[in-house]
Amino acid sequence: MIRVFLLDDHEVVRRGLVDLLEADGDIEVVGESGSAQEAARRIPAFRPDVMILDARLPDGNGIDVCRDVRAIDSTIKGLILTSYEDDEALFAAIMAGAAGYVLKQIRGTDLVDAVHRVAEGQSLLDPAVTQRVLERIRHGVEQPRELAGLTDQERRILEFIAEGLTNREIAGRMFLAEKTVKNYVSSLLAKLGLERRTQAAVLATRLLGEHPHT
Amino acid sequence: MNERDRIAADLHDHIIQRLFAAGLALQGAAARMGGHPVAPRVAAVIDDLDDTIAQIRSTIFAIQHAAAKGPQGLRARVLELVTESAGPLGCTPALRFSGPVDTLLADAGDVVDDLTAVLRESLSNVARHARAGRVEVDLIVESGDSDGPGRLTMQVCDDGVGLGASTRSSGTANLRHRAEHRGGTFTLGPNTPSGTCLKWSVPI
Repeated sequence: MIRVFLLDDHEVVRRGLVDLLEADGDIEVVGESGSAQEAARRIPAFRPDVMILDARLPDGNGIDVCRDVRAIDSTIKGLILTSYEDDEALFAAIMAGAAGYVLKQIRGTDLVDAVHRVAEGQSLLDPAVTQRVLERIRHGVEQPRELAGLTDQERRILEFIAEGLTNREIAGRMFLAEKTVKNYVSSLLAKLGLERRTQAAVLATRLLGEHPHT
Repeated sequence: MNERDRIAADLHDHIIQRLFAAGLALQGAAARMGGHPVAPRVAAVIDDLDDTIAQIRSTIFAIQHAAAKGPQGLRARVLELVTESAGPLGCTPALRFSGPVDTLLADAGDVVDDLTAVLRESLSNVARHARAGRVEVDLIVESGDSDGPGRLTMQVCDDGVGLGASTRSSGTANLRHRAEHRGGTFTLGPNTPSGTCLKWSVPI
């Protein structure tokens, strides 16, 4: 049985997801929550194989939750579930240290299949695409405004995040306390607008997809 | 928060979530229906809901993009082209994206130039010949893997009068050329139940 924890602030969405996942027969939803704060506290104790996290929540975001939980127990795999566009969802998943993202669409993206693959230890993020995101963070020809506002320290942390390191590992590399890294990540998310912005479009497009011809 | 952000937030945080939940519930019901004669109808409603979600996502992008300054990604360029075409077409095309369009095409400048040229030409063809009441534009990117390169596919479908005997050869020759010199494909065929479907697909 694959043990799954669900974080989504819409009760109707959670109910639908539980039905969908449990109909599979191999997946058991062991816990659920509508609050980022509560989920970050409770998930490590549930020790699920996979946590499915809505990216945007009234009291926080799934990215911070994913990083917080994985700092405590990196065997717990994260899947970001979002109604963002693909570009931003991809960026959110990388920032979260998640194994992938699934869009809130009924058809096309197969959540059940994604849960199975992630539970087996696969990453759904294409390494070539992740690499590309990293390259742009490092060598973006024209620095987007959001990146220009980052300190060198924050930029280094962003690169480590893009490489998939947990907060603890980043702390080790940078000789910082884990708590300090966590604070840096939160301020990064705030600066990049991931914390408050809704769907947005604008962010990932600016960061990753700027087109030099325009 | 300004008015635009509030509308976008509402669409994102409430409308999409409810549509998604409704779709999930229907899918759960459909799974228990087996071969019931109503099952295909339910499946069609699920498709409609998904379609609506995709269009709302494009709308949210459009709302927020309108407020954004600075360089644009491909998504924004396509949105602009499609918006501009509404006048000549007499209707606003439905626009759907699939895949990380901006990320995968970030460094593919000349493909993007071809794509925007093909889209402009296709929409102008529809406006001149099709007399369509509904136009749909789909842009799909897939990342490559060890088995081969990624792919960019664009479809422009309408419900107009169809190809018939109209002469679109010079324009379409150009579209075909832009696909084939990249090792891609170009097809133009009938849409169901009526109209035309253009598909332009190239490796990236």
